[in-house]
Amino acid sequence: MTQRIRGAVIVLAAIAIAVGVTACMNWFTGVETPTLLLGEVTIIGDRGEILLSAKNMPGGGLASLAVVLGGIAYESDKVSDVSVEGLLGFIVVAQEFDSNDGGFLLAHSCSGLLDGAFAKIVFTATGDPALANFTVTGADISMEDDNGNAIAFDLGTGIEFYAK
Amino acid sequence: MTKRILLTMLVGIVGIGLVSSADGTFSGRSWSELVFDPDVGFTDIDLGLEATCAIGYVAFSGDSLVTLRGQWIWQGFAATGEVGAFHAQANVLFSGSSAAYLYGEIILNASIAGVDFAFYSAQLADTVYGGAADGFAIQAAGSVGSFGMVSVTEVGAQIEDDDFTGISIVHTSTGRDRHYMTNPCVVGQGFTGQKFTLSHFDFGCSEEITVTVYFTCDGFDYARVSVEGLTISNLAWLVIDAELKFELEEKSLALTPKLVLGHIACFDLYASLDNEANMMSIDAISIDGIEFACQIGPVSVRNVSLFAPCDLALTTERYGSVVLPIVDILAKGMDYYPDYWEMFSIAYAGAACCEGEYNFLANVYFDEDSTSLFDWAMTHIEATIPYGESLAFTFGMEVAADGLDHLGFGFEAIW
Repeated sequence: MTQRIRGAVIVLAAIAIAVGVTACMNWFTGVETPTLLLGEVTIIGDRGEILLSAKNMPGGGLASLAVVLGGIAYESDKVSDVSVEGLLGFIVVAQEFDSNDGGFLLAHSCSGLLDGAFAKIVFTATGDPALANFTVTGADISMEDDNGNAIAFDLGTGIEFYAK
Repeated sequence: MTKRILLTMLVGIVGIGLVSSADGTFSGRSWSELVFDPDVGFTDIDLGLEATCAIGYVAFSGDSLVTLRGQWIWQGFAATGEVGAFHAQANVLFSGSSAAYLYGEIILNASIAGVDFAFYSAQLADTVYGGAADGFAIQAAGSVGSFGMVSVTEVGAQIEDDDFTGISIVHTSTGRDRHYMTNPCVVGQGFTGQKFTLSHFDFGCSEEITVTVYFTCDGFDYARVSVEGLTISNLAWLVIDAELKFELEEKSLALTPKLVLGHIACFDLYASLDNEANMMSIDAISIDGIEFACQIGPVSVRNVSLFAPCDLALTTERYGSVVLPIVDILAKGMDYYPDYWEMFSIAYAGAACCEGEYNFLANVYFDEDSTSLFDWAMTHIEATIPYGESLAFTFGMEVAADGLDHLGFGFEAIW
């Protein structure tokens, strides 16, 4: 019985090695660039949220994110009381939101985040938030990894699901 | 082609379940939870239905997540079947709002001649950012004498183990996620990796030696020799874990000394050694946390205090309220409480008068920046109250210093 088991394991290992050295047909194609994902506006009652998520962050993960003042814009008659909240250990170092635009700086207090939601923009909807026209461009955003290096990233909007 | 195979197998398994249910003993479970946010009102409703048929040993289930913001986030289906030594499991996930196919997974297990075989196949649709991808992996595990051997052949997919974390499908707007074992990595088929793990070597001086060799399409990737629990004579309080890793262009050795202070009454210590300046010398011993836990009949009491806020943290209740290094928590995609340095927990589990089981959990968290009495910051409560054999009510609540954060209630019915 033991010999049969040993034989089965050896045959299995031999097949696996043969597959390994002879059967390479494709390379990994799933390598993706770091992406900052902006969720859709969600509304309950008069309270709205936009979730910010990171995907494929390099260098130990996302450690800080800055949006320059005026880098995020919206329609003043549709939203008010805009602010940002950190998640998963991200803290709000600074934020300023005026009636039409704003900016903020977020940093993780200890480490870096590879994938996942790390902040949300919250606001009070005073009109139809679908028409609030939140706009932000990648040029107004800068991110650093846990080693202090700048992260080159894509800005992902209108994405319903992502994998991590 | 893979999509066709996956779909055919899924339809087959589901079909067997449905046909069987026509004649068999039908049983099942349904559940729901309604979530209330005091700032905005009712927000989410979780719905689930699981039907099981005894004939054919096939179980079929489905579950949904609907938010009261008007979003039907997803619809999941699962089926399991068991025939003789073979066990099959299938999962499939669709978007609720668009009915788009998101992910499918099939897992087949069998034990033949003392070797446990497992086949994992999965497909990620291009409707998910990070897709499209598909692939499968074959795992074989057996033992020869005292040695254990595991072989994983990856053909475009990785399975959840010590090195890989599986896959989570995340809804971008709400952050809600579903987790699965099989992570498809590539488009199309083809060999992508081979991992061998040999374990349970024992040379008398250590508890266990594990050797792992990993090949990819590029060829040799790494070989890793791990030794756990190296002991040193006359230093019973110290053990060393060592990991020697050979990669193509470098070799690394990591020594991790650990204090073994034992289980002192009801207390456990979380301690670390500072040997950064010189790997072979210990410069300091830090007490990073202390945990008290005891069981009194059906009641368990636990208190955790953490003193190294950037090293250790408590995971949320969903991830078991365990103490882990923050780096590991973030790498594994878990959720945790970054601000709370202490938790007091009391739990009760006991039989109800008329079948079923009572469950109650209250976790109280403390934050040193809180201005409340005793630094109180948040209380999390969960309860299950059975009503007879087949019905139970569930309740969940979170109260923070600024008021009620979360309120959820629902039911679970078994028939």
